[in-house]
Amino acid sequence: MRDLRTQIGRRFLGLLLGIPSLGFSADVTGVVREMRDGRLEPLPRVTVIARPADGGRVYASTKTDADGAYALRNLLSPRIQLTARRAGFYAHSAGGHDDRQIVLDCSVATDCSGVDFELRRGAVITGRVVDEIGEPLQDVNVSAQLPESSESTREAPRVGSRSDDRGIFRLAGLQPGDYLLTAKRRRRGPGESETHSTPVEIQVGEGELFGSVELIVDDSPVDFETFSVSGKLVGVKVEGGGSITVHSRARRYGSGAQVKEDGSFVLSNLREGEYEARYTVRATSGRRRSPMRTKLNRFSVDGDRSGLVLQPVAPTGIRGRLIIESGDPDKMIRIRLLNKDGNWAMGATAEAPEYKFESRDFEPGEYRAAVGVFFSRDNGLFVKEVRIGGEATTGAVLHVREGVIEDVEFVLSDDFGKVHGRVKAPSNGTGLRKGAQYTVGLKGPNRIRSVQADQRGRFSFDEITPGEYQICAWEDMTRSRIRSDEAWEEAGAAARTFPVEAGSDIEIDLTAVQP
Amino acid sequence: MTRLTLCIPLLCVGAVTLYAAPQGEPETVIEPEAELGGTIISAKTGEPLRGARVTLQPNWRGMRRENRKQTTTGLNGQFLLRKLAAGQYTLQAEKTGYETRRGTRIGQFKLAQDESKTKLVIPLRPAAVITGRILDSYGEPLAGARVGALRRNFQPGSRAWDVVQITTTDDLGEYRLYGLSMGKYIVGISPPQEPSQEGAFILEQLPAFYPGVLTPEEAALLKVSWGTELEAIDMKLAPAPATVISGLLADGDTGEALMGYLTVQTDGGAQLGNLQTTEDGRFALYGLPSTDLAIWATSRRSRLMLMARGKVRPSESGVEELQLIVRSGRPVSGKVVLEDPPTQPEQSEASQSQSEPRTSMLQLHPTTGRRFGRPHRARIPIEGGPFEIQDVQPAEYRIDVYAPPGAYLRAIGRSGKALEGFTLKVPHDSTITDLEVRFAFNGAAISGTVKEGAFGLEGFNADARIIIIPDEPEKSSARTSSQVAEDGSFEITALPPGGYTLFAVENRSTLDLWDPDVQRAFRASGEHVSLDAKGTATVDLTVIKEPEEPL
Repeated sequence: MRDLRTQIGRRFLGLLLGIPSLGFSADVTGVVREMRDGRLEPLPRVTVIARPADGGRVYASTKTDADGAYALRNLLSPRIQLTARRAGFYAHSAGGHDDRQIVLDCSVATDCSGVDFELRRGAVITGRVVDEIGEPLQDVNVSAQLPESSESTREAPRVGSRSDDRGIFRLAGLQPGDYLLTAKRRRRGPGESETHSTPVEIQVGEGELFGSVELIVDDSPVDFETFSVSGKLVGVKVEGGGSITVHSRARRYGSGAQVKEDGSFVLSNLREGEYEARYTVRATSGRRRSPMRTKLNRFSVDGDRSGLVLQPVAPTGIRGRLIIESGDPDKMIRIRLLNKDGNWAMGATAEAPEYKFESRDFEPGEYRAAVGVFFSRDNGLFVKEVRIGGEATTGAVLHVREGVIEDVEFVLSDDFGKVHGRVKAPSNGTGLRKGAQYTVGLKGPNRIRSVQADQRGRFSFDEITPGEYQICAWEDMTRSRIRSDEAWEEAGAAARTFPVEAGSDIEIDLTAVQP
Repeated sequence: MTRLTLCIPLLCVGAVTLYAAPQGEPETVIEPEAELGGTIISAKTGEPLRGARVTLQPNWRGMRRENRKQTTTGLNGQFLLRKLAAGQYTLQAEKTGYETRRGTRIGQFKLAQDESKTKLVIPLRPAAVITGRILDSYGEPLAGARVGALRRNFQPGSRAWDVVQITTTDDLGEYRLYGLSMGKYIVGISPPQEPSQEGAFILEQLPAFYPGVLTPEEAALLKVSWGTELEAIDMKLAPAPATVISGLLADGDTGEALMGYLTVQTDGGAQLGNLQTTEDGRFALYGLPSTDLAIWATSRRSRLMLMARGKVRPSESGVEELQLIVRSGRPVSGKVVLEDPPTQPEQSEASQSQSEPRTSMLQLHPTTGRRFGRPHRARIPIEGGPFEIQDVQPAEYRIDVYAPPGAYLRAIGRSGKALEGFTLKVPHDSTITDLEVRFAFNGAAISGTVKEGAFGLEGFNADARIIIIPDEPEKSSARTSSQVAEDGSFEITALPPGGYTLFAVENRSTLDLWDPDVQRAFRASGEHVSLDAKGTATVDLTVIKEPEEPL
C-alpha cells in the first residue's frame, strides 16, 4: 500500500525540512494489537505519533500496516514520547506498561525495537437530549468525563459530542469506567446563561454499546434560588480524594463537594427539593480501578442549612447468577436493568464459568432485565425469566426494595422468536408496484427494527426477544421515518399487534400502507 | 413615570417593566391588556407542533432583552401571551428540527391597546437533512472528517460557494447535516489532517465533493425540499497521489528565510489544508492532487504582515521545488470626489467646530481564493478629500464602499479612467496613488407597493423585502435589497441610473433570485424599470409564493 513516508524515507524528509542532524539517529519499531474476544490480533491503520518527551509538536508519525507493524526511522531526538491511536479505540497499554503512552530514551540504544501497543475497542454511549416535556433539543454539548481522576486531565480526556436535530448524541472510543455525563446548553431566554442537565453517571464495560440515555435539560425560562448546605459525614472512613455527590430525586440537577479529613463538607448551588447523596472514593494510583461508592441518607433542602449529618444507609442491590438455558455465551456477559421508562438504571457484569454478579446502589422500583450489547452483538441471548429464591417473577420483572436481594437468577436463552411473511399490495389486487420499495417495521418494547422486503415481498426478522410487538409494512417510506412514533400513529389499524413467544415462528402477511 | 401600584401581585414584575410607554407619549396610567396567541403548525403536514418556543420582543426604544416574553406551545400547538402593552413587536417562533436560524423571525406588527390577536396560525417549515457515510481510501469508516453543505452564491463580488452547515463524521464515519433550508447543495468532505512534524503537510486521502470530484463545479447538485431527509450521500475518498513539493519561504525585502503559515487550496477555492513552516522557512507538502493549486503564505516581520501567493501544479515524478516570497503590502492612496453635492444647510459655528468629518468604510475583497486575514479596509471621508489604505498586498480586488446618504457610488477610477466592475488590480512593483472614489447625487428612485404575501400567515402580514437585480450586476454598485413597510409600501432612493428588475419575497423565503434558474421561473413576477439620472418609477409587486420544490 502506498505509504508516502516510507516511500520517500525519513532521512529525505529531514533534508527537505533542513533539520540539522546532531549525529544522532534512532529507529523505533513495534506492533500494535487489539484485544478481541480474549486474543490479541494485529491492528492495522493505527496512527503512531512521536513527540519530544517534554511535550511539544508532533515530531513524526506513521500508520501500522496490515500486520499491525510500524516503523519510525531516523528520529533525531533521543527522548521521545510515543502514542498510538485509532478512531473508536482507546490505548490500553504502551510498551508493556499499563499506560496510554510511553517515553523512550533511545540515546542508550539506537534500536528501540519491540515497542508494542495494545488498543481496545472503545465503548460507546449514545442517547438523546430532551427538554422537560420530552421534545428533542439540538446543538447541546454533551460530554463524558471520568470524574475527579487523580490522573492528569490529559490522560483522561473529556469526550464530547453535540446533539443533532433529533436530539441524538454519540460518544465513542471510551475506555471502561464510571463516566459523568453532562449536557450543556446556552439558554437563549431573558438573561442568557447556560443550562445544564443533571450529571448522569454511567458505568460502561469494555467495548460496550450503551444506548438510550436520556439527558433532560431544564429549559424553562425561570430563575431559581440556590442554597448552601454544610455538615459532616459520619460512619465512613474518610480517605484522601473522597467526595460527596448529590442528585435531586428527579435526577434533574446535582452537585458535589470534597470531604475534608474531619468529615466536614459544604455543598452549594442546591435548589429546593429532595436529594440523594453518595460518598465516592476514586482510585489514587495509575491503575484504573472502579471507585468505591457508598450510599448515604436522603435529605431535603428548603433554605441554607448547616449541621446536616450524612451517614451510610443499607445498600439496595441484587446478588445472584446467570443461568444459561441455551445458547453460546461469551466469557463475560453484561446485564442491563431498565426502569419503567425503558431507560437504563444499573448494570451488572457476570463472568464465566459461574456467571455470578452483584450490583449495588439501586433505587427501589421495578426493573426489566436485558442483556447488554457488545460490539453490536448481544451475545445472541435474551433474558427469558427472572427468578428470586427459585421462583419466577411475573413478566420477567424485578422488584427492588431497600436492602440486598440475594439469590436472584436471570435465566438466559437463545430461544428467540422469528417473524416472517409477505407484503401484499393494497386491495386493488394488482400486485406489488414495480420499482417501489417495501419496508417492514417491527416495533418492540426496546426498539423499532426495519427490514426491506425482497422483490416478491418477502421479509423476515430473526432473533426476536419474546414480548409484545407491532408490525406494519410501508410503501416507499424512509427507514428513519419508520423509527419515529408518528409513522406508527398514522398507520393506525394497518399496524398489527401480536405476541412473540420463545421459540415461536410466526408468519404474517401484511398489506402495505401507501405514502 | 408613575408606576401603578394596584397591579395584580403575580404579574407585578412583568407589568411594571411594560409600563415604559413608547417615547414621546404623555405619562398615562395604562393597564396592559393586549393579547397575542395562536397555533404553531408544521408547514408540511399542517399538524400542530407542541414544545415550540414563541418569543415576543418589544421593539420600541428603552426595552431591553430581558423584557422579552417567551412561552412554549402545549400539546395542541397553542400559545397565549397576555397582559401585553400596546406597541410594536417582533415575533419569533422556533422548534428543534424546523427552520434555519434566519427563518425563526416571523414578522413585526403593532398591537393596539386592548387588542386581542389570538387566532394566529404560524407555519414552521421542517428543516432538511443530508446524511451519509464517509470511507477512507482503504474502505474503512473515516472518523473526524469535516463535512459541509455548500450553496452557490450568485451575487457578484462574493465567493462562488458558501458553507451553510458543517459537521464532523463520528466513529462510524457517519455524518448528519441538519437544519438546512430548501435549496440546492453540494457536499464537500475534508479528511482529518494527519499529525505530522513541523513544516510537513501530509495528505493521505484527497478531499472531495460528492460524488467524488475535486472541484465544486463538478459536484452533484443535491436538491432538497423542506423536510427532506436525503440519506446515503456516501463517499469513499481516493488515496492521495505520491507528489512531493519542497519549499522555502523567504522575505522579499530582506532576502532572509523566515517562518510562516501556509494555506493550500485548489484553484476553485476548495481548502486542502494548512501548516506552519519550520523556523527557517522550510516546508514539505505530500500527497497534494495533480491539479492547479493556489498557495497562500503569511508571515510577520516585527509588526508588518507579509503575504505571498503562489501557483503550483504538482506532478508525480520527483520533488518539486517551490519558493514563496512574502512581502509587505504597499499603501494605496487616492481621494473621494463628490459630483454635484446638494448645498449644505447653514450650520452654527458651535456645531461646525464640533462636528468631525463623516467617514464611510471602504473594503477591498480579493476576487480569487480565500480572504486571507483581515480584509483590507480603511475609512474614507464621505464629504470629499484624500484617503490612504495601508498595507495592501498585490492581488485583484473588488471595491466595496457605503455611499453617503442620498448618494450612490458612481465609479472607482484611476487617472480619470473608470475601473470596470469596481475591480482594482494592485501590482507587485508599483504603488497606487491615483485612486478615485466618486459619489454622485443624481440617483434615481423607485417606489411602490407590495401586494399581500402568500405565506398563509393569518392575522398579520409577514415581513417582505424587495430584491433589486441590476441588468449588469458585475458593473453595478446598487444595493440589492430593500425593506417593505408594514403597509406594504417601499421606497428605494439613490439608485445608479440603469435598468433593474424588482421582485418581492417574504423575509423567510429561501428563494435565491440571483440564481438564473429562479429568475427565469419567476420572470412574470418581476417588474423591469429603466431609469435615467434623477428618474423615478412606481411599481406594484406581488410577493412570490415560495415553491414546494427547489428550482
